[in-house]
Amino acid sequence: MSKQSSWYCDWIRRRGAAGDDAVSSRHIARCPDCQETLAAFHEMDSRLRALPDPLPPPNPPADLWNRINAGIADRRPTPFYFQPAWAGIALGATFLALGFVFSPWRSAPRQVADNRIAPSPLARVAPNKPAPRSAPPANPAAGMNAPESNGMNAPDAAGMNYPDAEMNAPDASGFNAPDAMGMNGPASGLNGPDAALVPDASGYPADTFPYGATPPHARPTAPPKPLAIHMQGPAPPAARTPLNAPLASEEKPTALGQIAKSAPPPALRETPDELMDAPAPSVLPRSAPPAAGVERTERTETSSLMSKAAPGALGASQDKDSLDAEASLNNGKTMSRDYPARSLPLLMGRKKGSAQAGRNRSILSPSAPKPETVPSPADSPTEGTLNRAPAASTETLAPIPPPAENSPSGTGIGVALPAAPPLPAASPRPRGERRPKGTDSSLTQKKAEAVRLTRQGQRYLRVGNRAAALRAFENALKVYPGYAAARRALTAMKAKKR
Amino acid sequence: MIGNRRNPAPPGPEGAPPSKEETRASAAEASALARCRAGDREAYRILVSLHERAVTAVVYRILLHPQETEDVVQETFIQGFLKLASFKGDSRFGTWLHRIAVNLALRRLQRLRQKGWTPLDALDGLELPDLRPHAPQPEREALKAEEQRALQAALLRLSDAHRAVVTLHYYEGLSCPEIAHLMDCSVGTVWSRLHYAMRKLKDEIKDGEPSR
Repeated sequence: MSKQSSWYCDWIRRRGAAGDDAVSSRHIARCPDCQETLAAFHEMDSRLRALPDPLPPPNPPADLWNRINAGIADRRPTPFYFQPAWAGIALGATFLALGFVFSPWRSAPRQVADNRIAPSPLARVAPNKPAPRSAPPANPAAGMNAPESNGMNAPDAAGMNYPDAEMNAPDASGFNAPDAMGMNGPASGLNGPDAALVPDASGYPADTFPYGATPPHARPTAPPKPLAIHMQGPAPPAARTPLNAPLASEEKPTALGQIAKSAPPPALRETPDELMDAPAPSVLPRSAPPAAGVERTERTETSSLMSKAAPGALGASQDKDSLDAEASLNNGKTMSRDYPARSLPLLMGRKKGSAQAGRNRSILSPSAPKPETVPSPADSPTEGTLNRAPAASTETLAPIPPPAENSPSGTGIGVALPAAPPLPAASPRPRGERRPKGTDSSLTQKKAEAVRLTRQGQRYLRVGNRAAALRAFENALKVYPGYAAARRALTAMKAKKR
Repeated sequence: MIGNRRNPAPPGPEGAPPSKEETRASAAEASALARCRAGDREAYRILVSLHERAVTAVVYRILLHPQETEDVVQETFIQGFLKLASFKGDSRFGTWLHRIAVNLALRRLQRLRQKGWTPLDALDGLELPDLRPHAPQPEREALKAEEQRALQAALLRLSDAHRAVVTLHYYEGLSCPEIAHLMDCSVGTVWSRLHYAMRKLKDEIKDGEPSR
């Protein structure tokens, strides 16, 4: 049996007792089945070998070498980076890098990135919590926000002083100069603290920003309520808030005070109703109690803005009361002074936008617990123009009680308000302790949103999309009417259009 | 019959000691290979002329399609030149080329099957030589021719892998280790495929004329 014809013999041997040919032969000699199988193999093998070649292979083509030569010339070896595997790896790496660079946790918080107006936390005030009578003094070591000797404000975590030059160009006093609307000027006399600054038991405002709160457009709208108090004309000097009144009289004159004296903003002629409905007895020791049954106007939010802008001016005050008041008023600022300490590496290591994103990120931490909403007369009506919260159904227009004697706010605007209840002692936050996550004012959010929209508009301007830029600036002003940069840009655009 | 009935068997890892002609061819092949590695494309022409017939036969046995065979042969030599750097000399160059050819042919056959072409189509219009006028026993020869046609059709109905093994063993005269080397499988796999193919062919022949 030749080598080629004995493939099954080899197979049988291999299947047998380890190549023992004698064993296989003995088994085949005794086993009829195996004999039959082997005979069939023999027959088929002989048939296949006798099978004529019905399809003889053709001769190779005559021009085979020419075709091979042309084919070799056409096909250069592909560089490794053009091979599909390497191209896929490079593409994946590029996407990964882009995803890392433009990842949402590096750019902006989700809420701001979604271009939604941040729901105001003003409706989430817990007025029943004990408020500090005096807040801890400013902690310069905790952040960069301590008013310096030259009055320059470092950026704070409250978003009030962004490192953006066009946003917070400090004036001579080191504070935001009042813009055309007078929104930032504490001299407007509208600095009465609102419910947004009511601190909680920890000594910080309880207006924890509701990260997952219902957006304003999804809230049920309440029918407009008539204003119980409406003032016209310029406010008298006594119309200052109880907080500012002693400060203005006792503290040393500052540049801000000069500004306030020299150029009273037009906001003075607006309704200083927050003087009546300022529900901040827990913040300000001598402020007016919350006026039950008194409707608040939208200026209340502006007053909260101003009351936040004020602390810088109070930094030089030596008076105890004013210090208390400053500390109380500085609550938001004090709590925010920790923040830059955390965000300092961000500010130093990243660009401006990234630092802002980091700030917003820590502010809008989704892990922060939501404060429980407590319907009260002091919370819901303090919504801003855009973040109008549903009117508190429990609030009713009650007859205004006679003015209390110790109510300075009542004397200021001639409206009688109930006397402020005694305030519990403040629970100051120890130095170095960080502000709890998720606690920030809606003002910060609104301003951050305004900054974002303004920058978006500036980007639109750069690419020539004036309509979109105009919309962005207008939206920024809607969100935060006091943002001067957006107003300037809008004015410039309109002037250029003319 | 030992070896290929038409073409010399490609040199494999096993075999008898080479003759003088084979030794001379091997020497020419080695020198051409060395020049090819140095970048001489004309030297590759010598290698092509040495192996084109055997490669064409192997490819045609698998494909049974003349035009596709030409394409696959051309592609085999092009790939052989482009990937000459991967040839380490563990086997002969002819074996290495046959391996490329078998792989390309099987891949092309799979693509042809996807297009609806089967090797049975190669039998269309094919007429076996009529032996009756010259045979002393025309009826017996006619019967034998019919059986051969049936066997040929049954062979073409085998799967590609089984048919390739049978074809390479019985038409090209390759041994089982050589087939295993060409098809990148074990010798046991070649035996198994041969066994399965034989059983299948026997069953089809026993059942009579296989239906197409």
